[in-house]
Amino acid sequence: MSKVRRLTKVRTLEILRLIMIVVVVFVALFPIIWVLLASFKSPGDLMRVPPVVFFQPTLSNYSDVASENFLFYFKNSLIVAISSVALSIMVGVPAAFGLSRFSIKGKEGIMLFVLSVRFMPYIIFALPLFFIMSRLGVIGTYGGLIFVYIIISLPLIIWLMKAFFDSVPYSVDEAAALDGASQFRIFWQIVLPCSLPGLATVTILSLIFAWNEYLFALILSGRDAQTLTVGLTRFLGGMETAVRWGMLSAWSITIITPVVLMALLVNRQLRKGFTGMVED
Amino acid sequence: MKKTLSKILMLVLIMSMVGVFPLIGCKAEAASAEKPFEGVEIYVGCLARTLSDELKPFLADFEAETGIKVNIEQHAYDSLRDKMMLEFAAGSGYFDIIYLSPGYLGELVENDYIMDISGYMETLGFQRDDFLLAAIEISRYGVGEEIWGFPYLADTTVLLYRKDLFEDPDNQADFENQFGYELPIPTLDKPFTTKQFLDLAKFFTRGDMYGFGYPQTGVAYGNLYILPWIWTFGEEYFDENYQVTINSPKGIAAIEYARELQNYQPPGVLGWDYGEHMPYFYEGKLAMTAGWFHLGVEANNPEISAIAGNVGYATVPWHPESGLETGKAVLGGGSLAITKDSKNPEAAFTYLNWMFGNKERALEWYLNGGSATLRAIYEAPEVYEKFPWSKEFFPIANYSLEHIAKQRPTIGVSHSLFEVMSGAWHSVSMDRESPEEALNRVSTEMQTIIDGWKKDLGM
Amino acid sequence: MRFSRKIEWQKASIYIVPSLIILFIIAIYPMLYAIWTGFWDSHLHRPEVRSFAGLENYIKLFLDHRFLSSLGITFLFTLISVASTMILGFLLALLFEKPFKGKNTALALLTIPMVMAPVVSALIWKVFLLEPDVGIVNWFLSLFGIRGPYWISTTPWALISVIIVNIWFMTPFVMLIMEAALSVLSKEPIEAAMIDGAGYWKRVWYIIIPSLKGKILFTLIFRITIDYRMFDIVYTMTRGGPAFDTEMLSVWVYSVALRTFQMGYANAGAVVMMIIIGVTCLLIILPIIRKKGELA
Repeated sequence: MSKVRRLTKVRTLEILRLIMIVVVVFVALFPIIWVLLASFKSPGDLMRVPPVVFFQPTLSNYSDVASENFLFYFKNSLIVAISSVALSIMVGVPAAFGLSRFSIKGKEGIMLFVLSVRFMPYIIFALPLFFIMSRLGVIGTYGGLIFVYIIISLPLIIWLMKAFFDSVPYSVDEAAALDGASQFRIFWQIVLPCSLPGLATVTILSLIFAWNEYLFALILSGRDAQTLTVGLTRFLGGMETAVRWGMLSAWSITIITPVVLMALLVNRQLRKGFTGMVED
Repeated sequence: MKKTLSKILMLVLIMSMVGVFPLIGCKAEAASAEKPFEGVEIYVGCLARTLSDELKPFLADFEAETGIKVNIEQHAYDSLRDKMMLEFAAGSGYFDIIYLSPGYLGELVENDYIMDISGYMETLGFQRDDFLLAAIEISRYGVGEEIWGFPYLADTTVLLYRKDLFEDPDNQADFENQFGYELPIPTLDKPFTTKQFLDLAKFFTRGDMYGFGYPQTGVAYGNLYILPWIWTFGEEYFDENYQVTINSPKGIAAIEYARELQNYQPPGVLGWDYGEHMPYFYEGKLAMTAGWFHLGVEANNPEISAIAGNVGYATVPWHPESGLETGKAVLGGGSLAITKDSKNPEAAFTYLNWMFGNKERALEWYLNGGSATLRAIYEAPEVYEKFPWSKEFFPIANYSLEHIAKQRPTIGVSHSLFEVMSGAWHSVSMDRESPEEALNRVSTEMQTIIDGWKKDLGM
Repeated sequence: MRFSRKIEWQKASIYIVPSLIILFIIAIYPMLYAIWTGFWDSHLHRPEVRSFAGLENYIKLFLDHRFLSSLGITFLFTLISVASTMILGFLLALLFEKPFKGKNTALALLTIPMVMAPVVSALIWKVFLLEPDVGIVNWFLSLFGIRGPYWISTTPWALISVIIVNIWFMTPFVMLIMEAALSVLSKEPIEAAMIDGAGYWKRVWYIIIPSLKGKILFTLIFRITIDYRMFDIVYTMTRGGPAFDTEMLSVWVYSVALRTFQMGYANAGAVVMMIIIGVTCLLIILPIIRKKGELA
């Protein structure tokens, strides 16, 4: 093939490629953009066919959401997510360190155990927990739900942080030990600071998963700890109830906005986190 | 690392700010005065619809008068039911008042989760006889005398048909040519027969119009649709000895009929949920449909319906061979029950009686989209002023309530029976099974369920 | 010099034991409880009234055609969804491989479907996009004269809808992993093949894919375990319907527990779920860990 023809071929392929990329991004984002628009449409405009592209924006859907005690749900999601992740970190990071640094009998077994918890379907925990928690009287309390949410983040944190710790060479520990540092100091002041990016990534991931969680909240959040995701599904239609489109769209936007913003701001970290999950 | 940490901080700030977004649209709340002797808060769990929406404007007055703060929590039906079951099992006292659908009435009564409010007749002034019989009937369990829920909504299905299409002389001529008898116009004394109804549905299915259409999705509507046909043909799910009778010739005839009728309905009916048939009706895509009372009333309301003025009302079809005197329809609606683990049952009852037992308030609620359970409302002139076509509608509606509406089975496992039946109905309409196969299979399944129920209750 | 450290369990325990205790309480104990409950015939509302049923529940499960159908649906869903996302994700990674202006922005935007709560995604698709009469998808199809199906309420479209949503939200995940893996791949074998005249797709098939074997395998396992336990999307979109046609195992357990109140039976089903995924994972992972252990 002559050079000119080859160049043109490459050029066209490149343009095609870019077009496809744009299409892919569009398909990925379309649902969200659509709902974002929908959340500002008045009930009359909302579900009209053909779809209304130019419309008079209104905040009425958001005020409906506000009057449905939305802040209560938002607060709950926030408290439960942050507290459970914080607890998981406090317990899981040391565990990851221990598993990384110490050669212990049964280390493999423990790692396998942690991994297997990650792979279990949540329903197998949820039903028994419902019974256990009702007997203890902690259904619907923050404490109960937060504690249960640890299932979501702890195995992940242990697994990922161990990988991050593993990548910090022993020589660092050695040097510190030679300088007379205790085990704990090695952990706290040497190895951990080297792994802060990893920790940040793991925190972000855990927060996202906790925020998005549904099944546990559905069964275990009682009245006082209901999270945003549970609140949302109250408004689906069903027998004798009409679908509340406006409310659904506005509520959806408020659930995803914090997470989407966070994802965009720390995107590199986030991506590293997701790819890291498959690290083995 | 510092950069990432500060980024995280920024994010937490942003997250909290997003919580402010809805506040921008939020209206200012009115200050409420509290009576010092009651600082009580009660929670009402009910279905999200206009009915419960329109309760909200009254809450401030109630709180001002009694000091009781009422929180109305609206849910979808499934959501509410699941949540309720979980909360009862956990014994949490979450709800003081819950919407009591006949669908789960049995379970709640058998497990002792709700209170019998007939006791409040003497103590808190519950005037039972002020209410429509059907409104009390909807909260009855089996043949008991207890009243398990405060009257809230009682209605049944009435047929809606396009008067203009039926009265059109060309249609009448064509119909007579095709079927050999006059196009029937239904009256109270002479309702449609099942044969006429099927012929009409067939006749009007042409172009982009269908003869009939009604929601049939899921367990709720799957069952709500097929059960009245079974009743109309003279059969029941089970007899007084709890033996399943559904696969009798009458039962099979009912399902065969329904399967044929399905050919004259839009294909999507198996997925239609509450209210989804109305837009089709308004757009002229259905010649006939059916609806609960308020849907029937809306159909002739020029503000809501594009075909207002052209909608006729009729009672559901009658099947002469059934041996019954009329067709049968499901008694629908529900009541509001007070939970056994409520911490403020009297406050709860006070609210219910204040709101629904008081003629002025109930009337105002009805005029704004509520329901009418007090007899007095049907005589109020305001109703006929606001909905002039009610004059035509109420005789049909009330007749249906008194003679045609029938309470669904309320035994604790009814929901499982409904699940089985609606699954079978879907399967038959998708031609996966023949009516006979489906009913035979279903009857064994239902009998197992009922036997299990009897064993559980030590019967 | 390798720093050999023989730390006794005592010292290590402070670091590790708290996690183990917590995991035991919130994960292991419930799992054991579920297994135990599976042997009894108990009722949600009357947990005290129960009779020992031994293996009866488990036997019942395999005679229950709703449960068996649920197994089948879960298997079908997982198979189609995992295969589609893997292939699509890989192809997209190839598409994105060569750097271009705005690549990072594009990748950033593509992470958005992944971080949205599955419930919200499912809801958006169900209510706004796939609604048969007023949804965007059917309107779009109608522009081409195609009459869109009743997505949520008919078979097989209900299952297809659920799969579509799952693909929409999981493909970016696979894509990111593949893209990262591609970017650290060594160039030499590829360049050598190019010089030898191998075409693009030949290069992909014979060189790139084999070198990514490990990553692909792990992503596969990961995807299987996520899809297999899917609850949020199915429950929100179809509740398992129409007529149980999209009832994945998680939804089955939930429905049986909350609708028929047979807690023992529901738990037995959950235990079967657990056994299946446990065995599957062990079969795949154990040999790999062994191998890694040898190499370490």
